[in-house]
Parts: sequence; structure tokens; C-alpha cells
Amino acid sequence: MHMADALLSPAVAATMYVASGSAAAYSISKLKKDDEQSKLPVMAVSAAMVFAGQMINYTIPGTGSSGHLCGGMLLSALLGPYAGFLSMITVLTIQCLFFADGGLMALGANIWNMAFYGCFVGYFLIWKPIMGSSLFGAKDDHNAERLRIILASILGCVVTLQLGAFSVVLETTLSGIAELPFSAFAGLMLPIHLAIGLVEGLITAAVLTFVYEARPELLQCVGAAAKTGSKMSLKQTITVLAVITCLVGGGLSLYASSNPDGLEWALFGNADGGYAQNMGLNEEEFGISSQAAETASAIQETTSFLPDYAFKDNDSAAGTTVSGLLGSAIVAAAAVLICMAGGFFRKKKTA
Amino acid sequence: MIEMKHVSFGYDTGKTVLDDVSFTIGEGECVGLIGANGAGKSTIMKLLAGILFGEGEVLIGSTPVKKDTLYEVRRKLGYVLQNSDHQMFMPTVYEDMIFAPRNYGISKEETEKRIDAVLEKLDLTELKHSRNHKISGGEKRMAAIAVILAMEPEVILMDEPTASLDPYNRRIVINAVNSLPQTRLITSHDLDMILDTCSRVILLDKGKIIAEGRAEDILSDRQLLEAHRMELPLSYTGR
Amino acid sequence: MNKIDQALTEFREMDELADQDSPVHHFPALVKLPLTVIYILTVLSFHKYDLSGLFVMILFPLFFFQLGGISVRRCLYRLRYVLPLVMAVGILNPLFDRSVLLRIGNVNISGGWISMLTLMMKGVFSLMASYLLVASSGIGRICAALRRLHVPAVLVTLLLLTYRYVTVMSEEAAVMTDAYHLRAPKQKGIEYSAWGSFLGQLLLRSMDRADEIWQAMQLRGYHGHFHYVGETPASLKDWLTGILLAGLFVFCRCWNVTALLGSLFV
Repeated sequence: MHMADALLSPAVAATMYVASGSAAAYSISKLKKDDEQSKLPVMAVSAAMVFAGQMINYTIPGTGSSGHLCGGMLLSALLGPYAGFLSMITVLTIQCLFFADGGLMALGANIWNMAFYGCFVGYFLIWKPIMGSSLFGAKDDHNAERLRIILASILGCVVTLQLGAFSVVLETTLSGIAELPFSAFAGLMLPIHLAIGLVEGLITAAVLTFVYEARPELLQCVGAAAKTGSKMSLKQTITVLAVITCLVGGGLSLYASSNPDGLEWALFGNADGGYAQNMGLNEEEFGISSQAAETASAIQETTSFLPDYAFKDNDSAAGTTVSGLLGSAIVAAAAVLICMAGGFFRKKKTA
Repeated sequence: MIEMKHVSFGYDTGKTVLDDVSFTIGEGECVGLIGANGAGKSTIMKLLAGILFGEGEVLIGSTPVKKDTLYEVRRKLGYVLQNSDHQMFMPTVYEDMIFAPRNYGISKEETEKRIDAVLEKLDLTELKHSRNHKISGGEKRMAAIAVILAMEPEVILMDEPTASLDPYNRRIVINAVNSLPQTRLITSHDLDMILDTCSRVILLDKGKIIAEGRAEDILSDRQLLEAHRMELPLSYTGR
Repeated sequence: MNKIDQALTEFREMDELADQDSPVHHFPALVKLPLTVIYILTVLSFHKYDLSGLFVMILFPLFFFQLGGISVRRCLYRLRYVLPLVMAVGILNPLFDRSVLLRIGNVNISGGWISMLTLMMKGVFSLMASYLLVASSGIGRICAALRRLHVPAVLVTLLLLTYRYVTVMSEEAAVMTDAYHLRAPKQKGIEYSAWGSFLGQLLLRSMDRADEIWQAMQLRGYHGHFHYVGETPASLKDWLTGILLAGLFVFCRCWNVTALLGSLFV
């Protein structure tokens, strides 16, 4: 789910940097009040472990595919939200710098999409309330605690991954890069990440229950030490989550209904534009009324073209095209030359 | 230089790890601490370094090891950990070597001088700017020793300094240990190495000191060693 | 070779590249880092149809790759991480945007194809730029630059500490995976029954590791300060070079240099 540089406009990239940077600054100030110094090694080693853990393939029963580990939830359950967030930042930064996983400019967005949701939303809205509740049984009931861990892990991964995927869509759309309409993109990304989130949740649950059995004191909000409880009750949390879901879902469907350029439209909608033929789909067979298609195409026509770029066969435009093509050829030649010159210099050096 | 007086240590669970341990190590002496797994060797090391605190009195030099004397104690004491990766947490050997001196407020110039001298002495000069995650196991162990020597400690504790080294590197480490003037306490299962480096040996089992004496005497006593889950060093088996 | 060993190899490769000696390597990271950012921002700000204008930007990274003796091919190999999402998004552009933008002979090229190519190019160029930065600076100098740019010390220290242990932990994970697969030769990954214990073991051991590292730090007098080797400060000449290059980037952004070059011959 790493966002790439190319999908972001400078403005969106900068905004995400500011957002993630503020969250990081807040975390650092929070940690300073704590015993930040003694936490550094744990944070570093946990980050390194998540990094290594994310490269391990976990086979999903019944399918040939494999799942991976979701770092944010795991780290915040182990280290708390602030330390977990900073650790996640280092994981993402190293992935960005050394493996080109996500780009330098997209790092801000990636931190937001993967670390912020995983650590802050995952911790404050899911992990802490669920672990502090008496869901499934009393606080000191071993089995109930296990179930709570499993539920919080799965729910946490699913929710935070959905938020992350949704943000990827939003950031891309706001950047104005892709032609793929917002609702179609969201319609593609969210279900895929629902499945991924489920698997990641199961893996996280498995790991955390293992830790719970072996060394429960390592987990946040677990056991007698965490009796103080959370500020927010489970009921309140569920309400908050429900409200967020309604807002996001409502917004989405509103958007989709007012602007029906969704996937359906892409697949069946604009017969005149040759989409149906293009995709090899027969409109009648899928029973989509052409009424909707017509309005959709009308909307498309009025909204999607940039008038100044509409191509007309006039001389000046053709002129720029020719010089553009020729210029590209010159640049390409220069590129080849540079490469050859480099090879030449190196040979000379070693000789 | 090192002294333990009636020291006992146990965990909250009630398990006793050390039971009334007393010993003294004089200045410049090199002493081996041996015993089977779980005998309490690492606990003694940790008590000396002030990582753990137990009952009884622990002295480094003339300073008692207490929570409020840690700064003073640790300035005099270097602890070479068994896992060099844990000890060398900085990116390069050089940065690891300046870590302690700079923390103790030694000037930049003095630190540089120290580091160059130590690297020269241990014949590691070309490792100076190597990255810690790229050097070999043997080099890493020597570098870890160099890191500790850069502190110029009066007392050096070593935990399994020859573990998982090949014979060549093991010999290098042994020679390095022998060349040090400091008071040294070494724990190891490599009894041949203990024999090569230590003048005196303390045998520990189940949290108690079983025997203490000249290395040659204790390490050649087959009955004593076997009674405490150990074996004669190869040098004494006559093979 | 499993995925982790592969990653470790790439890690070491980057370190080795950073240890090389060239004018690009000597150029201080303090200037290089903002310059890379400006380059990427310039590339990203090109209009989605401005394919020819964007194309000229390839010359900058290419030139510095050659100057630094860094292989372009090895860099492009990393594209496998970046391209999937970019591809997934871009490949649909020709479907949605069918306005004819360019006509070569009898072939109509739609805006969608142009914007798709622009998108891919942006992906490749920004990757090349950040690869160049890391390959010619290494984590140490980048972190020193970050410190000079007032990134909080906690974060920089954490980054360096994590970097130090990424290889250690990855090696351990690689050994564990090998051990697992030696006993489960027909499985592609870790089976669900072992999900928890596999990573859980790694996790517990890493916690012990962290304890010991913390002790090692304390034993050497740690009280909140890490002393890293800084890099040699940037000279006025370095800054001027940086500003000149940044100016060139902006120039290429404002004027379509490719078309200008072409019009010389038309």
C-alpha cells in the first residue's frame, strides 16, 4: 500500500508531510515526559523486527497466496501509540530510503496512511477501549483477555487499513494525477484492503496472543497493571467508530450518486466513447439501462476535458508537436551520450 | 579492586540465584569465573556492573556499587558483553569507540588520541571507520574489546570473550586479554582459554562458590570439575 | 535465495555504493538532500500532458549517476517496488481520457496515453533521484544532514539505531525462515499454525536484545546524548552549485527545453 511519489502533486505531498510531522512532533513531546531515553533501544529493535517480520511470507490457508504483517497495530500494542508511531516512521523511512518502497516525497503520506492510523486510531479507538473493557468476561479472565486481544487486533488492522487505503485514494484524487474516478478507485482499493486487513489482523492476533501467553507484561493495557482503564468506554468508542463510518460511507455514496462515473460507468457506461466494446463487455447482457449511460456521458463530456488541451488541427499546435518530438529525440541522444561518457570515464579511471 | 561480601540475590519469584557469595580480586589480577549453565556467573557480573542489585556489599575499587554511585562505578568499569552486536549499537566502530569517552566528558582531542592508541595496540587500525554490521564475527569481538578499552577502565569484565570464534580469532582474543594491565574477571565455558589467561579461578555451582584457587590446581582436578557438570580442559586430558 | 537474504544483499549494496569515492559522493548531503527534494518536487509539478517538457529532466539524474559511478541498471531494478501502484493507477488513464492530443501521421494519441507515460516517467525520475541521494551519501551522512536541518535528535538517533539492528534482525529472521523451510520443504510460506510462535519468538528475543542494548548504553555512561561523526560542512561553493542546479530545474519546469531544442532544428 506504499504510496508512490508519482501519484502525488507537490501540494498534497507537502500537506501530508506537515500532517505527519505534527503527529511526530506531538509524539516526541509526549515521549519526553515519559522515559524516552530508556525506550530508544526497544523502539529501534522493535522497528527492526517489524521490518524483518514484514518480509516473511505467511501462507493463507486455502489459497495459494501469502499475507504480511501489519506493523502499526503490533507496535502500538507493544510500545504504546507515541513510541509505536515513531518506530513505524523509522521503518517506513528505511523502506523508503533503501528499498525505494514509497518515495521520498510520498513518505509524509505513507507515514500518515500506515503509521498514523495504525498507531493512533488503532490504539486509542480500538486497542485501548477493547482491552480496557470487560468484553467476553472479567479483566482477570485469561480466556476473555485472549479473545479481546484477537478482536482488537483484527478490528484494528481492518479499520486502520481501510482508512489507509481510503487515504491513498483521496490523496491520489486530490493530486489530480489519475483519470480513474474517485469512487471507482475507492471501490477497487477498499475491498482489496478489507481482505488484506483481515489476514494482517489474524497474523497480528496470532503474534500478540503468543506474546500474551509468554510475557503478558510486554503488552500495553494488559493485565493488572493496566487496571486504571481507559478514558473512553467501549460504548463511546463504538459510537465514534459508527459515526466515522457513517460519515465516510455517506460521503462516498453521495459522491457516487451525484457523479456516477464509477466502475460501472467505466465498464458499461459510455457506449459512444467505445468503452463497452473496448472492455469487451456487452451492455445488454449486463442489463445496464442506457439512460444512465447517456447522462453519465453528458457529465463526462462537460467535466473531464481541459479545454486548452483539446487538440485542434492547426498549424501552431502541429508545430510545437514536431519540435517536441525532435527535442525529445535530442534529449534521448544526450542521455545515451551521458551514459557512454560515464562508461568511458570509468574505464579510464581503472586503466 | 573487586570485592563481594556476603552477596545474595534472588528473583521476586523466590528463586535464589546467588547464596552468600564472597570473594576479592586484587589489582591487575586476571580471574576466571567458571561454572555450568545457571550457576550464577552472569548474575555476579551484573551485580558488579550495577545492572542488578542484591543483598550484601559489592565494591569496585573502594566505591560501593549502589544506585547513586553508578556513574562513578561505571566510569571505572568496562563490561565486554557476550553479544558484540548488542554492545556495538552505533553505526561504525569509530562512533562506538567515542561513545563512552564523550559521555564522560573527555575532550575530542584526548578521545582521538585514546582511540588511535587502542586500535594500534590491538592491531585494528584499518577497522576504524568500518560499519558495525559489515565486519566479521572475529573482528567484531576485537572491536568490542577496543570499544571498552577506549573507556580506559580500571576493571574489565568479560562475558564469554571467545564464544563462537574460530581458533585463529580465539587466539587473537586470548593474546589481547593477556596483554591488558587491568584487573580482569572473565566468565567462560572455554576452560582452555581460562587456563591461558587467568592466574586464579572461582568455581561456582548453584549460586555458591564451590572452590577458589590457582587456575592450574582447579582446572586439573577432574573429580571436582565433573562433580559440578564440567570437564577437564583439553590441555589436561593428555590427548 | 529467500526474500530476506535478497533484501540484505540490497542493503549491503547500498552501503558499498555509499563508500565509493566521487565528486557526487563528496558533495555534502546537507545540500544534496534539499536539492533532491527540489528535483522531485519539480518533476512532480509537471502537468500531466507535458510529456516532452518532463523528458528533459532525465538528463540530471543520468549525469550524476555517471559522475558518481553508480549503475543506473541496479537502480531501475528497484522499480519493482514503486511501479505496481503507479501502474495500477496509470494503466487506466488511456481508458478514461480519450481526447486526441497528438497525431503522428495517421496515429491518434489520446491524452490518456500521454498522461500515463508522464506518470511513469515521474515515478522513474523520482526514484532515480532518491536512489542517487542514498547511494552517494549513505545513512550516516543523511542523518547528519537531517540533524543540521533541525530534525529532532530522537528521531535521527532512532533511525540510526534501527538501521543498525535491521540487518541483525533480518539475519535472524532469515535463519529462522531457512530452518522452517528445511523442515517444511513443500510450503511456500509460514503456515497459519506457526504464525504466532514464529514471529512471536522473534519478538520476544528482540525484547531481550533491547534490554541488553540498553544496559550496554548505560554501562558506557549514556545520559541522553549520541555522538555521531558529522560530515564536513558545506562550503559556499557547494551551496552555489546547489542553487545553480535548483535554478536549472526550475528553468526546465518553466520553459519546455525539449521543444526549444527541437525548434532549433525546425
